[in-house]
Amino acid sequence: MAEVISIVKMNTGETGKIVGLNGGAGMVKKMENMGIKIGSRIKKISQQIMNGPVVISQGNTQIGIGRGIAQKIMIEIEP
Amino acid sequence: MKKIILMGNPNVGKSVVFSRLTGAKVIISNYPGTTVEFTEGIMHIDHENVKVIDVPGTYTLEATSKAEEIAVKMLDEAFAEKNNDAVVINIMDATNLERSLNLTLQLLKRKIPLVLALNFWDETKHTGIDINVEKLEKIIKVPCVPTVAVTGEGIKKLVDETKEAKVSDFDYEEKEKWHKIGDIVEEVQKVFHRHHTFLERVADISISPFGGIPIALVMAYVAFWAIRFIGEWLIGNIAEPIFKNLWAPLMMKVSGVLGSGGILHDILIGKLIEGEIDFVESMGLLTTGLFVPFAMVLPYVFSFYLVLSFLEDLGYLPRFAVLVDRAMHGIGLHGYGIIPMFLGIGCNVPGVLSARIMETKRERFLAATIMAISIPCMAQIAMIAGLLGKEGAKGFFPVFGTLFIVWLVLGVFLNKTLKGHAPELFIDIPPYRIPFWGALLKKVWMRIVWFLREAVPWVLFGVFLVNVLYTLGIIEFIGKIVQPIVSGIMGLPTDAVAALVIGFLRKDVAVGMLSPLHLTLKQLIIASVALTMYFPCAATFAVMIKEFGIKGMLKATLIMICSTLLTTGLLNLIL
Repeated sequence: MAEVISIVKMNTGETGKIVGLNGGAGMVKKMENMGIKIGSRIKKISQQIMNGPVVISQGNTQIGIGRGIAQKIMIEIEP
Repeated sequence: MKKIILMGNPNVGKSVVFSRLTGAKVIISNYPGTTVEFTEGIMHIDHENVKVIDVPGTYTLEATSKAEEIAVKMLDEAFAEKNNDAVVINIMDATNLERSLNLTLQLLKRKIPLVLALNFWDETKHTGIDINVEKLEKIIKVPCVPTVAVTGEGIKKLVDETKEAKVSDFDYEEKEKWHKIGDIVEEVQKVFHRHHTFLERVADISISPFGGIPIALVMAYVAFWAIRFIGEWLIGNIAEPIFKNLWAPLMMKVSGVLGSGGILHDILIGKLIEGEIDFVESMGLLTTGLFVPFAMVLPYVFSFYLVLSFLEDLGYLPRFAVLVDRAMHGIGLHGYGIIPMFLGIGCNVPGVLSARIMETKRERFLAATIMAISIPCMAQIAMIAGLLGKEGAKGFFPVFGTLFIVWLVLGVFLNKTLKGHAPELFIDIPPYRIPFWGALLKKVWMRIVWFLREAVPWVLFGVFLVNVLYTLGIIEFIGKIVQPIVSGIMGLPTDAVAALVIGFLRKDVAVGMLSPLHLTLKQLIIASVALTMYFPCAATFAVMIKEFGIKGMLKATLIMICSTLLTTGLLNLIL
């Protein structure tokens, strides 16, 4: 079984499948509404320097996510 | 009256559809959160008036933010009365079917008449998406119309379908919602593999740290250069020749008729300087009162909005917000806080209003306050450029450098003193879209008209008031009272008091009033900084009261006065 890591730990350009959202109910709802939900496939587009936000793409959108929230999004890397 | 309510995710083109339906002029840009106020308009369908309501974008009806709460409230209100005859047009992003369907399903559950618009239909082609519209209609049992709102494609059909809108009997279990959405997407959408387009490659580079920061610097430099070049060209080749060659001789004739002096002459033409009209210093309604807004400020306002509108429509602002997010947290805002700052450079009033895109009250207050204090509006920048232009960088650098430091220090200070901390960035980044020139120029035009309507009456009133206050000796009186502050702390002559008084009405007129005082470079710098910071102009003052109440405004004012005295006092010591 693949290792579960947060999207902060992903390398730019890698794709993964979301397996866990470690936030309160409100935060999880907010993520789901933006298309970030368990089972979604995402790709990491970039990571800003000095612990800046992570940018991922999901379907046809890109989403900029502050590090605090990004740490709560857990994925399994897909080859 | 029949009502049409436009609902959809942020940045799916609701306002474009709204403007297509009603012919109303509304600001449209390529970033989520352009519409912060709800707008209503009237359209005619079969000789019947229909009210159209443009609702701020929302991802869900289970509101998680202030903007979403407003959207849900507006929907509730529209359907609250009996026999309301209301229809919802749910505008969807055809390239993001899954996320759009989340809102659609929630709307279906409310059992309200619904029509779907699949907007950005043109973009589905190059993104390799194929949606079977008939199948979608069959599943959810409401009319679906593919649209390209910017070009108007599909809008007529959309209007026709609103007449047929029915309540669908489509239903689902709440906990099965995402599952159901997945099934629908699977059923109606095919995705083909395709290569990255050129714009997508640029998009990826401009958001990576190593490509993004150099691109941002180049963009900022080009934007600055373009604003200056276009503005200066318009002034030198159009505005000034018109005033000097056509208007001045005419005004000299008027001056002769009025007998070259007297009260009426002073109010209309102003004081003649060495027997000639000086458009900056004469201070007459028909001379300075027209020259300042039209020949000194308007060219820069035009060039600024042209450049800003281009960047907005391209979709660059959300990317810039991601790049500066980390730095912006230092002043208590996340990256999106840069948007009120950009809009504030055009005019502080839309700057304050756009602070509504920030999630919390603390962020809204913080953003609006530091913007109103340390960001000079374009009208003021143009006048400072006119005043200090001959000094070059020696004059500009201390003024704008000081204001930037004030912006930083105030942000850090407010971040430390206001309770709470900035929420994390969580924003949708739209794809780059080549601006549609027709729409872009229309937006620039709307902003220019808005500027002229706001600015010209105040400028004229300001010029008029200067004459009255001088004639009545009121300026001298106020001058004596505040002399310790103006001379003692700021090191300015008492004559500069008049400019500070008028600065409350219009900052551009006030900067113009410094011109005849023949101040030293040091005094010009201090006066320019003081005029930017010390108090917002009347229009900004009013909008801040509207947004934050009297108490919030007083708090902001206190911060303004303290920071102005501190900054100008320091400048007086250092320079």
